[in-house]
Amino acid sequence: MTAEEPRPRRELVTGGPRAGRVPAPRGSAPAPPPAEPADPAVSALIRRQLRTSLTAAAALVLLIALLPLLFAVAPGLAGSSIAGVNTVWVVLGVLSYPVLWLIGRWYVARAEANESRPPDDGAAGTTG
Amino acid sequence: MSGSYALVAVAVVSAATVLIGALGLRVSRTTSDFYVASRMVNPRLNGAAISGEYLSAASFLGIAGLVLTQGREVLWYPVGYTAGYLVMLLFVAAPLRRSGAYTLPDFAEARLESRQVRRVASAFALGIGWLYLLPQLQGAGLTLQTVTGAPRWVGGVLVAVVVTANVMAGGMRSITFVQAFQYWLKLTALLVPLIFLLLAWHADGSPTGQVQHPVFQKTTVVQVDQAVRIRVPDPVQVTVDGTLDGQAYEQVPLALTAGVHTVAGHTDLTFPAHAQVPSRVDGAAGSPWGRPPSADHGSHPLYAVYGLILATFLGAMGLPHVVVRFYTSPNGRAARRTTLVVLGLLGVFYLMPPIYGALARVYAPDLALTGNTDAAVLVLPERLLGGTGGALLGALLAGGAFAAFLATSSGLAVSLAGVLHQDVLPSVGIKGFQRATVLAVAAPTVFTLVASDLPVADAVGLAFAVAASSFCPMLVLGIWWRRLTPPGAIAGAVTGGGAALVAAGLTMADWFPVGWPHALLAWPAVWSVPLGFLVMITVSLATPGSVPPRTDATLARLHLPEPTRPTRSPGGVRR
Repeated sequence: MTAEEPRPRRELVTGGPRAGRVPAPRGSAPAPPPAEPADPAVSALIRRQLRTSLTAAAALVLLIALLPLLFAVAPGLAGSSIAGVNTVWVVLGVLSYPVLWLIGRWYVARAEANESRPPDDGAAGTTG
Repeated sequence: MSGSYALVAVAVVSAATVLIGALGLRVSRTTSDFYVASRMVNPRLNGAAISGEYLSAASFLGIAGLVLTQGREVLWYPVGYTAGYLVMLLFVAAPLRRSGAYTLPDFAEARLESRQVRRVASAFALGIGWLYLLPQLQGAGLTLQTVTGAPRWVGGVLVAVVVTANVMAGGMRSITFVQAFQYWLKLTALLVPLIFLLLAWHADGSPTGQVQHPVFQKTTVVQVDQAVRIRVPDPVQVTVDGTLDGQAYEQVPLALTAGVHTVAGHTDLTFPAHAQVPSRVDGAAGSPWGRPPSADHGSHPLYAVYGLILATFLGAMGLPHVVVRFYTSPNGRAARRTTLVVLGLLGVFYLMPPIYGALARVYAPDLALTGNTDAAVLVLPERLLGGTGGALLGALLAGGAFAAFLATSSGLAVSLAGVLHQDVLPSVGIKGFQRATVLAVAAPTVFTLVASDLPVADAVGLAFAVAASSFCPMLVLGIWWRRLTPPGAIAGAVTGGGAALVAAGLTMADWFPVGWPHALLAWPAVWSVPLGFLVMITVSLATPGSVPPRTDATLARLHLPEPTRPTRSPGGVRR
């Protein structure tokens, strides 16, 4: 790293078909926008999105990630069967996938709604 | 001979891959095409491509094999692989796309404005990628050997050559078509034989395997090719032709005591009907795809399952070939919707491998003994159906398995070449990218050839654990926490990822074969992920002066929806 400028600069992937390299000032991904003070509306949006993500994550934990614990404390449940097939097989092998997808679908709808909601100007707060 | 059909299937899949790749070449001209398909791929095509790339041989062959030997706990692997995508959707998908970066190192540098962070991220991306690529190549060798009898190295080299040629020819754009094709191919290759297998199974009186331990359905001759140590659960009367416990026998009936026995290579063991299938002593951890949670005696299965859950739920976002895919979405919203499509496609696919595993418990339990459990999916048609039909369906499965090897390896090759090209090799432009591709694939290929017998047990699981302990904290905190600093990110990634890596090394060296020390080291994610987060947060709080100056602007960019006009800057994506 001592020789002056030996390192090739990476290319702007959004750049147009300009053959060869595009000099990027920091040799980094697309140059970040200039420094500016935190916008309260942005902070509010980030908090809203984080709350949505955490809610969905909580659903994931409750509905899926706690299952091993449930099967461990209730061995009778793990040994039982649904329509002749062991419950664990049915739950993990079949039911878990639609549950994961539904959580995802709920999240996508909420996240998009959060984004299209106009910034509620009063609700600005300090950054966490 | 069934091998010739399989050979044709593998050849057809390889040829189709190259052909579709070559068609993609026509429209792939700029470096941007090579990298990210110029970000014009729509959610459905991109979703199929992501799924095609993500469903590696671990999913196509590995899960059924693990179910065969270990039963229901390994069902957490497919659930975890899918849930990993959900977690990615919740916390990183849209912001990562909006960051406008291409590789994980790009994101690290864009967010933290530090070249050092970039270097650390590059090292981890390369390490994780190669760790993931290695078992793909080894598995390809094993599969080709199983179905055609070709030497072990042929399959790996074949995959390496096809992938390199294809990536060099077309880069990401053609890879997108190839991988979308390979998702549907893999789905078909599992679905069609499964229908016939289930019909045959039904006609056979629907026998079910035992829930915990597989048993031989009928008198079975097990041909042991390579020496193996087995654990016999109950005393059993067998016929031995070969060498057992150091003693040579020739068609001798023998009462095997319960416990561990050593079977030499080229030995035939005949087991009576209803005898429990012995398990391999060292084979439990022998699958390159994953370690079963309750493999060892005196293990801690509940802890192990949570190790698996944490690694797969949180590790998927840190796999270099997975993340690259988000850049091919036109914007953040499309990235989210694409991920939702992926969740659906993965869920449909993962319904099938466990059924293959359950059928294999009934019809191919001897594979648990010989340890060639990856063959479970491949041999079932021949065992259940036989004849030309069985051979043809077996060939379809072999083709699907090769699609799995090719798709995942292609994705890894593209992303690793991206990292090498940008951060390691001193060349630019398409030539440089092509040279980087050769290096990205050649390194693990040479390693497989030289060290073909080295056990890469659980290499995929290890890649997930390291990714979950290093990139997961860096991404999640980078996207959601404005006080993350470069020293904090480096310290956390190195501590968390490093700890997972060391634990894996100690497990492979077998330092602590039993008890809690073993469980803690074999399933590091339970403690290494919190460790990574903790160190990252603590060090960041201790270095408040190092918060990057443009943090607020960067965060705004990650979370605000893109404006509707073409993204930005002259020469941007044209509509």
